[in-house]
Amino acid sequence: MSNLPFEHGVGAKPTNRYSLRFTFESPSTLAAHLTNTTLSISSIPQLCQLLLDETERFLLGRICEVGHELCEPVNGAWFLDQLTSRSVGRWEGNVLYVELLSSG
Amino acid sequence: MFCNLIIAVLRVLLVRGHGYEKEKRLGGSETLRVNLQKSPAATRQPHILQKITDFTQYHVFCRRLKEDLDKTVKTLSEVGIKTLLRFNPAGESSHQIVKLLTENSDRRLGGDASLYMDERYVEPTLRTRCRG
Repeated sequence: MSNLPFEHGVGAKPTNRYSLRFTFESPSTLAAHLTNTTLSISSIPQLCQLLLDETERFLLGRICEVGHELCEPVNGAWFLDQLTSRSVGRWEGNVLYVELLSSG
Repeated sequence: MFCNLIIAVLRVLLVRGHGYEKEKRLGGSETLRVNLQKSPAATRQPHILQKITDFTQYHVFCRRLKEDLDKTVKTLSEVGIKTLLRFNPAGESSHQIVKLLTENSDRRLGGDASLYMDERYVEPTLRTRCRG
């Protein structure tokens, strides 16, 4: 991003794993800075899809965290299945899949 | 406020355009050619409306972008996940913005936005800044 005229100051860096950062430039250039990559966004539908995907990833991650806390006494395990976009929990022979449905 | 800025900048750009034409007429082609060799960018025919259209487009673009980010914040907040948005459409100082709008350069206005899902993970200082 060295070609951007605006050097980003204090607080602009993502400080936690649940933050999304965007940079933009006149007249209408937009880039999303994700954990591992920088994505150039060229349309509003693409932006909406990205927001939807990232929100889903965040929610599934939080579900895993909550599941982990709840299942700790019984040595349960929770993980995020990126391929099927599901949170998966296993404890005492049980398996629970959590999937999010978009209401549009 | 946005319209006031456009009117003010337009005046500057028109005066500059007029100054350029006047110099061309009075100084003749000789002076201009010498200037052109010295620094091509400074003696180039100044744009008048290009900056205004870019600026207007950027204004609409930022508004549209913020709308979508606000929608995400609202949706998450409604289900009990407090989400914060820090939106800064112009990263440059006011002095730099005036320079950018009135000078004959190709530099562009830029900004940034950060969306923090779940404010428990946001540092308190940043939290105040997002709200302020």
